[in-house]
Amino acid sequence: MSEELLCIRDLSVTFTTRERSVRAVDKVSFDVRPGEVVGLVGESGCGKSVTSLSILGLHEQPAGRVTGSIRLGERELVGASPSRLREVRGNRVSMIFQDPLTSLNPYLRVEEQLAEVLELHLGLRGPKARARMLEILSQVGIPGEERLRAYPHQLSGGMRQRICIAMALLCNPELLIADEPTTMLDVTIQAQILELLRTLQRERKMSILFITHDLGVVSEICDRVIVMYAGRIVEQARTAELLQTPWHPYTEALLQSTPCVDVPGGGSLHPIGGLPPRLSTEKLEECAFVPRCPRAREGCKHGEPALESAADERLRRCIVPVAEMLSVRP
Amino acid sequence: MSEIAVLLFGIVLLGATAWCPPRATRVLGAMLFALTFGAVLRFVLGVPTALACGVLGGFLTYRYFPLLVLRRVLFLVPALVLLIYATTLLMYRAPGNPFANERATTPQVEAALRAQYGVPKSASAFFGIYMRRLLVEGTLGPSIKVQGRTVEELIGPAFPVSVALGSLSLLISVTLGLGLGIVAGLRRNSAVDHLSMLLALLGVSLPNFVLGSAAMIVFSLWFRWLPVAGWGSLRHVVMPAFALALPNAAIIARLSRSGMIDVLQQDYIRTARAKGLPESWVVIRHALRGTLMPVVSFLGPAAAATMTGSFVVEVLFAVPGMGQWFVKGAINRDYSVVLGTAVAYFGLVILFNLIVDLAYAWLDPRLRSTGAHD
Amino acid sequence: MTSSPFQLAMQRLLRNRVAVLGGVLLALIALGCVLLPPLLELDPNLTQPALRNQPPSAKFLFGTDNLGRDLVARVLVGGRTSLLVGLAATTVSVLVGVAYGAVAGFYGGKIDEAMMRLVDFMYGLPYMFLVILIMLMFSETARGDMLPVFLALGLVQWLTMARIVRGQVLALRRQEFVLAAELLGVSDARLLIRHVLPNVFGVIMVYATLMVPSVIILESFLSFLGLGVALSWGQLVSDGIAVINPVRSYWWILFWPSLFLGITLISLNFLGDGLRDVLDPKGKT
Repeated sequence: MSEELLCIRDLSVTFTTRERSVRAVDKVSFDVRPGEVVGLVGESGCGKSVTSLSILGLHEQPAGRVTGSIRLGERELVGASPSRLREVRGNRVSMIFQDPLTSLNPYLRVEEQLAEVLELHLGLRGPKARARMLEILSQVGIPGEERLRAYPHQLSGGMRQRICIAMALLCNPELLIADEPTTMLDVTIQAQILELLRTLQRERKMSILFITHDLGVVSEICDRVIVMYAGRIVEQARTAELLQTPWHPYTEALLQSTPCVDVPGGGSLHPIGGLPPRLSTEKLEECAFVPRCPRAREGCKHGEPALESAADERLRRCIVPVAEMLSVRP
Repeated sequence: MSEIAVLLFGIVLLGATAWCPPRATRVLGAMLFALTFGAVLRFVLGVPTALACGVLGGFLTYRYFPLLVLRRVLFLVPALVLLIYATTLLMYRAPGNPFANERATTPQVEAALRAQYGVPKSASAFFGIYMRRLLVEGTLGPSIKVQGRTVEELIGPAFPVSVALGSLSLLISVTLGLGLGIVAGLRRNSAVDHLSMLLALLGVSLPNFVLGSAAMIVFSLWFRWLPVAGWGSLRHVVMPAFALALPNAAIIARLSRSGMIDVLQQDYIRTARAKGLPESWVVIRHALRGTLMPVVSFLGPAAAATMTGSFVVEVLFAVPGMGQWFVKGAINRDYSVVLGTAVAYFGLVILFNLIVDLAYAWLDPRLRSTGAHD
Repeated sequence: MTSSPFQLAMQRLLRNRVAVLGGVLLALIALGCVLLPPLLELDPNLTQPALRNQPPSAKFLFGTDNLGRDLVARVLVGGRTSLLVGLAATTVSVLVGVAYGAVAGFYGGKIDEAMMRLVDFMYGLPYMFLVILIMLMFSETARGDMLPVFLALGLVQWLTMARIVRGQVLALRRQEFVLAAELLGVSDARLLIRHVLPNVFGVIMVYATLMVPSVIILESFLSFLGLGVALSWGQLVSDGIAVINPVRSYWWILFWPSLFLGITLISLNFLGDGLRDVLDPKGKT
């Protein structure tokens, strides 16, 4: 078994407002190995973004209360001092976000935004820094000097995201966290960016934690997938296995709700009925998915099922027997 | 009546500059800039030098100023002219005229006086004479009430005083306001924040002469640190400048605080932190620019408010600025003096607005588009 | 039982203690200025030279001025003027500003651009200038006539209102309920008045409340410069400043009108801020 690069154990994040407390992430545990691409999948509000932001401690002020452990190699990140966190950010672990336009500072040129990272983490300035910038830009598919002097608003969406990727890779991070990086781009650009990420990941043997709600994207790039619902992990498996034979009703429903191009006559959409639950801090009386689960039964209402290992590298949080999932349609 | 029609027509024309295509805007804007620049320099330098500077200025503006700014020039210069016209109309509508109070004013004497001073019965005619005098002869005209003096001679010494007081007070407003507001925005909901906003509220809620007189009592009469009133040394400037500055400082403090809070929630701040930047870099290199934007937009009205407030502060602290000339001129119906101060004040406003526009374009690269890209 | 958004907003407002305090103080001062003088038979103009410059005492709670006039009477009656001017001038601002802004926002496009250019420009003008000229225009025709004062002051503040209303109308214009009404053939005027403007009402209230202090301050400027038409707080402060001298401090002549002026303005600001938190929290207008 190889050494894990990132090791998350019992991560819980609670946000408290005047009215109530919300547990956005509830005892989430998973690992990311070196050179592996792990997908984190779920609906809006399932806690995937919060989980990813917790790794680098990037929550908006007022921050939530984070408990549990996030280890990067031998270093503990939860509760780490700000200066230690800053050493890691942009350096060993980088992050790219959903909207490349708002993620870049509109008032600064590209080269200024890239130079900061080089100066801070690698101590590079002047011509050496420039050379490195040009090198990385050509690696992400934007050759040429003119782009360096440009402002973000002068570039197209795809180019901006490439710049963000370049900025994240300047210091050769071991882990790249990508929070829905293709959601705001149109489909053709999406494919290009995914291709770029795949290439870069292979070349650098970098790990990627890829957050998305799109199972199509997952199938393109992820080695392993973690499915989250209501702040918890409900299933975890290798990509191919998960997509072919989901072992949790939620995953199953997600797959079914993805519109298909090649269904004769178009077919109808199968959305998952109902809304995600409100996430309070109270212990759950029943499985979180019960109100919307097509396979729900009496036993589901007697407390939340535990996350159990079902096979090699597979975890599921459901009492419905696997055999039934495979044979009986919901 | 027809004069009002002309005024309204002028206003409509001003609005119509919005429809001017880029090329034409650039050309016309530069030309107007050259004209105004030259006309102003004419007061200081001789005709040929002023002319040369005007042409040079126009050329440089044409090539290097952002389109946005030239658009403003195209609007502002005619607006200045229109303002002078409106002021003339207003003055003429006021009851009484400069010559009515003289003794022995028979119609013939009045007619002679009018001819001598170039003050016809019609507002428009006076406007025409005035503009010609201004542009061709380079003078603001003779004062009607103060014998043998031109308006320039009268308000000349007062002009730098008002400008000094106004600029210093604006500087104080911006420095104080930004300082307080940024700190409050960074330490939201802390004691510093609440205290700052309380001070800001007080600054906005009290007229500047109340604050000024309180300061006078405390600092001049009780502690005897500063002179009560007058002008001439740095110590004379302190109280009037602060009294004038405080209301604007308060508003700027609020603006920069909310600006900072807004900016800190932007995605690019998160990116900056994700890159591992220390908080000081995040604030200074990334957050500050965005925070400055609403403050810079406010600078135009801030200048106007400073001018407005200066009337009162100059009276309170007996500062020999232009305010007294305006009030005297208005009461005495000395048209030339009133117009002279009007030209000075409005001219300053317009100049200031242009500088603010340039600053705005410099701060936000999205607003720039120089001739090369048009 | 559901409350309307307006009622909900008012409920939230009442929870804001600072705003409520402001409202209460304001009401007290207004009532005092209006009701107390006739009730207590106060005369602001009664000069009693023998009693000049008396410090506050049981008989004269606020003291007397240099002509022996009772300052309580003067402050209260002066308050009527200041408050009335504030209210009336703000009303003028609101009427002009709402009309202008609504038209600009409703029609959008180049009309809006042109109209707003004008507003942007006027923002930069030193208004005292024009106000003083206007005041002089009317000074000999009808001394004591307040209307020109209201007009002149009102014409200074309408810009802010115009901008805000324009922003709101611009946004609302594109909403479905307006477009739906438009499709039904509702005329422009009706659309504006019955469909769009009622939704802007709250914001108008907020900024109207915040404008009153500015107007009162401007009026006090005019009084200070000697251009005021009636007894007002500004005039009283001016009187108070005139008697400042290093030998004897007649602090009460300056203090009481300044206090009332300050409390009124701060209360208005508290109330306005509270209203803004409740009705337009982002302040993005």
